[in-house]
Amino acid sequence: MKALAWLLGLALCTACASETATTTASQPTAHIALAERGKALFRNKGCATCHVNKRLEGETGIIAMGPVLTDYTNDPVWLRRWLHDPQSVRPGTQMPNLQLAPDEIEDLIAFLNQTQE
Amino acid sequence: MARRLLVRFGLVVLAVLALLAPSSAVNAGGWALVTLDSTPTEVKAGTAFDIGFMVRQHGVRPIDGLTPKIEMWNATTKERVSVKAMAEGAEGHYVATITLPSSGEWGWTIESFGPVQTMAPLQVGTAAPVPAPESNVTASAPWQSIFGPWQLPIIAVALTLVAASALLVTRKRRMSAQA
Repeated sequence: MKALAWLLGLALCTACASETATTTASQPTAHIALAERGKALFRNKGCATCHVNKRLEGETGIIAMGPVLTDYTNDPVWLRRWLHDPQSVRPGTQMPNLQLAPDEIEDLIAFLNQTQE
Repeated sequence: MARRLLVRFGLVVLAVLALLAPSSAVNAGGWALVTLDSTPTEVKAGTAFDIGFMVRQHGVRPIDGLTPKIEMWNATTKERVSVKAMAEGAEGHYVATITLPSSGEWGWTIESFGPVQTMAPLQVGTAAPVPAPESNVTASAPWQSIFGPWQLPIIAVALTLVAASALLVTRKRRMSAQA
């Protein structure tokens, strides 16, 4: 029975070691949350120029042509369509098409819909 | 006398109107949106990297013929870097090659057409270390130098099966002994 217990324990340790090794090997060197990337994109794609958003440090909305987005949230499905092609959702809108990539849209949605504490 | 008063009054009104009227080019429509091609990542001190971006008037019409200026600063070290971007590729597209002297957080702006646009702070890592002469180990776990990524799970399963088999054999022997 002692031998069995040792064998089982060794099997368990090996299983844990393999999982740790696999996790360590696949861990990216830099991990940024979706919302944090979205926050950076809000500046880097020019959103902060037209929209005030007090969730960002520093001044936003210098042009202030768009609505204030500090407390803004919306249905991700709608946001996906809007950020992809604003004219298709609301023809004649002043919101420009920023040629956002799909992953950039997801990051921005994560930032906009992030629950504020 | 009345005419003089009228003229003076008119001048005063004009002066007041001139002060109240929008003088900023922004209000006259002179502004553009800068959109980065991508957020710079994995930036290392002392290593050059490119920043590409589009400049569009009102976010719509690409603007050519500009010389956008990128200003970067490290609030901790007080270092400043200023670089001019050059037109490259599509109409309204510009690229600047930058090398930052130190690690840490760098604030930066792009001035192109109209108001200066503040970008998201850039996290700059320490200078890339000189690569080690040998060793292909990519993980920190020491056992990975002995076993490959797929060998350990197989070994774990094999040991579990051996333990289960031994348990079954032991039970059978006990049952037959009791019988």
